[in-house]
Amino acid sequence: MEGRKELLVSTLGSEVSEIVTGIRSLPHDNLVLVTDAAQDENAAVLSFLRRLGIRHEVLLVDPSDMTGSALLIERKVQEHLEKGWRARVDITGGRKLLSDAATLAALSTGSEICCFEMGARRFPLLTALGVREALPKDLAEVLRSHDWPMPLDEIRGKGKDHPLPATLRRMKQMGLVQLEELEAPMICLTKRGKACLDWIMRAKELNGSSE
Amino acid sequence: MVAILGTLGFRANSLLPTLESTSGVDKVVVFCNDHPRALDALTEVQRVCSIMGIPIDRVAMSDAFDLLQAAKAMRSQVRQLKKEGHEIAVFNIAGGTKMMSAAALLVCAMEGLNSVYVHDETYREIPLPLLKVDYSQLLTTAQKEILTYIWRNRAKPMTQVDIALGMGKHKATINHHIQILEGKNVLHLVEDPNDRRRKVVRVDDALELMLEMD
Repeated sequence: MEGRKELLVSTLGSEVSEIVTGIRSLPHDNLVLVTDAAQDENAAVLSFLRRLGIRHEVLLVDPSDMTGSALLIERKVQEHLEKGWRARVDITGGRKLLSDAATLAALSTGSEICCFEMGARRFPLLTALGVREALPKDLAEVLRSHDWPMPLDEIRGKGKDHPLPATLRRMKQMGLVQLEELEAPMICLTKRGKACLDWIMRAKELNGSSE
Repeated sequence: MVAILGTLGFRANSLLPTLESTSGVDKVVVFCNDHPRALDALTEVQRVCSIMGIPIDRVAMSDAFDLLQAAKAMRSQVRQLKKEGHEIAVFNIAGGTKMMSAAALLVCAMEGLNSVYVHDETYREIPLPLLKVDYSQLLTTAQKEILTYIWRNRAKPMTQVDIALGMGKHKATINHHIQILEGKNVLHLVEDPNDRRRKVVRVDDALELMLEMD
């Protein structure tokens, strides 16, 4: 029986050597290089990979947009996971922002995190820890479909059996919303709530654009 | 009582924006190693905290490249602060080594903490989309029992038959769960170094953190 195929995602800076240990020690049927600098066909790293016959692709991200970068990496990993592949993320290369975006994507997809800066350090995750897994669908829907902030009076006006007040209480417990005294008492998104909403909306946009 | 936590590398500026943006802070805890430049950054953060009248504690990272040790130290600190009645407003993960940031992200997800990154050029705070995920709820009772048994006996390489005998369970039951756990990447079946015909079960040190075996 053929084993699971292996995806290796490696962050890449200006040094080819940063990805070599990962390539040598981690199994891979496909290598995705995550970089913030466009690589032309003659780039040292690409000719190095071609010479070794390593199947690879380049994922160009903008690390100043950490969420956007993490989402792009996450989508690439997710595409492979959906086909039954196993994924590992090597964060050794590139600047820290790039590695942190890759770590966020690894957490979000449950991929093993590897780093070879000072000896081999590997950390397998048991499962994905992303917004998709942690945020129940009904809460995600409320987060996505309502206008924020939401007047407290509007909530009070809902009938006793309306699900929204209970949903908002759960969202408050998760640190997604909080009550603020603006011109009137309002239910506002916290910073975390805004970050999760941003993630959900952008993930939806990305998935939509790939369809 | 409001505390903020942060990983600290060579730049105090990776942490200071969080100190400024968080209201009511009465304790700062930083995680940093003994590198002279990290200690310089710490001195700068301590100076600012002193001006603001906020006590600061430093947790020394003996190995800033060991994700497991860093995460354990951070989680222990988080729990201690919570026990003392502190509300942890946010964990700034921008400073320190890549593994320190990764450890901090992991702890934020495991403990349900707010986390922010501070951009290294703009010094703008970027809140991160992380929510609490309880690892221990992801496995069945039977799976946890098997893992606990393997973890406690990890010094001795064991086959699936050894585990079944040791736990007094049927071999097929153990095989079934081991297969599932292997699929979850929690354990691996590897050749016994003393007898290559045997496959023994190996668990990763990460289990200690994820399933709170410690």
